[in-house]
Amino acid sequence: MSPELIRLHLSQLKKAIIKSETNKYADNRKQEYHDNILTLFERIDSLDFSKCSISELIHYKYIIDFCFISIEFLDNSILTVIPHEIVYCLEKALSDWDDTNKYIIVISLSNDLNGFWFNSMLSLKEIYYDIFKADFSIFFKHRLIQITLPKYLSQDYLANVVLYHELGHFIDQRYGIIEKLSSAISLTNIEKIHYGEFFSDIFASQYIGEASNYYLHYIAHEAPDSESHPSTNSRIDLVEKFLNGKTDPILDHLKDATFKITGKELKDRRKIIKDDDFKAFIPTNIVSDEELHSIFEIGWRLWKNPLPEYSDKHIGEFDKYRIINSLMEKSISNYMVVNKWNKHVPH
Amino acid sequence: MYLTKQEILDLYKSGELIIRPLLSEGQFGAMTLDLRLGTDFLVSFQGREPYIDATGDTECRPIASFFQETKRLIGETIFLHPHQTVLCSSLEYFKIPNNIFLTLSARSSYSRLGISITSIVQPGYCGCLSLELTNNNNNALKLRVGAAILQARFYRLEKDVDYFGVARKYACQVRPVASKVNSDKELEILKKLVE
Repeated sequence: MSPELIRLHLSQLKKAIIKSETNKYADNRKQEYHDNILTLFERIDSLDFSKCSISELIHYKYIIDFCFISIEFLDNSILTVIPHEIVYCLEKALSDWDDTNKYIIVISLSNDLNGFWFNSMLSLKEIYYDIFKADFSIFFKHRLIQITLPKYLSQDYLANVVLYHELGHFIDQRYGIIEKLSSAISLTNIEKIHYGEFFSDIFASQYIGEASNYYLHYIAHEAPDSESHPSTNSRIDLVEKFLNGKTDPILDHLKDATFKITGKELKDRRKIIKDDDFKAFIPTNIVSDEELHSIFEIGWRLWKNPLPEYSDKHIGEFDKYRIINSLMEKSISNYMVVNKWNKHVPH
Repeated sequence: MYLTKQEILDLYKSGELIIRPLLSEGQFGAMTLDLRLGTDFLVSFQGREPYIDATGDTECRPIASFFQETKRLIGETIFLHPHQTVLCSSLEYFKIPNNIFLTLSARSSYSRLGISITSIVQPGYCGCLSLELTNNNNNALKLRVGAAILQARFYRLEKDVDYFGVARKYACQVRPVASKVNSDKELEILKKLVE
């Protein structure tokens, strides 16, 4: 690491920052975070790196990387790019588990068709925020929950049920659920990783029921146990047991640990709504958050099963896919609009 | 036959006419229903190609590439520049009875600003209504998303029309869709007439 290389990295960041300066966010918290990143950049840019030791240069390299990643996720989180309706659903689920208003869900779009993942860097690595406060006097009020999803599926309401699973990873790590459970029952490293995946599956199925299994089965097929994931069948089996109220040693451990650590229950939170409206080509009137999440289950059920209401009207598979997605999107967006309207209109 | 406010309300309350969301019953006028500007837009811009080819030629640049997608939240604003065409949708999603069709026009207050919209909605249609807004004013216009900018008049037919009797390109749309004129089969026939 040399001062010249740090300057190169900083120049690359400057280019990204200049491009991002015109970003307009619907959520003011994102603008506030963005402004802090700009201030942080200016402070680092004013440093004289020729006087820094190697370890100091590496330290600054990490901070520049942090800024880069923040800008990448903020760039993808403007209204035109972000799948706004899906993120709204995730925010509702997040609010069941964290009411601090500290966390903002941000998105990055990946070219990998299976590229769904969560990274904890901007949300849970508090050491960065401590350094920004101590060394640069910059205080970040919020943290970014980074979720990546495939670019080509960003408006796909069937595929994006996976995002509930990714949010589950955040909740697990936010509270250290599997970490603490692992210490208590002495899990091996691989078991610990598998328990993390099981937790996120169960977390997702609280809201979207078996819809999480449908897409899991599609992307993971019949995958056996691996170092990174338990077998697909064991994951599907555990979700079914959870939704059917059956017991299982792993499930019992997860439920017990979650309640002890967070004070909140892993439970079936669904309020299942009828699919009659979708069959009649109209969006559903959603009246509660619980019903909101059920939209994903309806969409999947209709997609997986024969739908004479559509085929009798000469609607082919692609149009069926398009219409189901449209109805899911419009059902969610109507719920958002009506809620906002009702808050400001006297009855 | 034009429908009156009471007749439109009766259709709505019986569930034959679906409007979701209907934010205010004040949207029902004496013989019209006011409709709101939706949240998604396709804004036309001048790109590399000098013109939009609507002849059905397979080598032409897709019409969608002449438009840029943008989105707003309800309550936010959007600019409509002079002589620019912006495609958008009504905030409301409709399902129209099989014996009713609608004509759409700008509300008087917005017509006076230079906005023109003229369109019909077929009996049996479901989806948000497609709006092709053009600002004929020499000044740019700033519009509020969710504002009631247009109105629909309802006509009753003597017989039902089967909307899904033929394949539909725009059924159940919730966002604006660029013209699909180049997929019209008849354009292929017309082209062959001069080959």
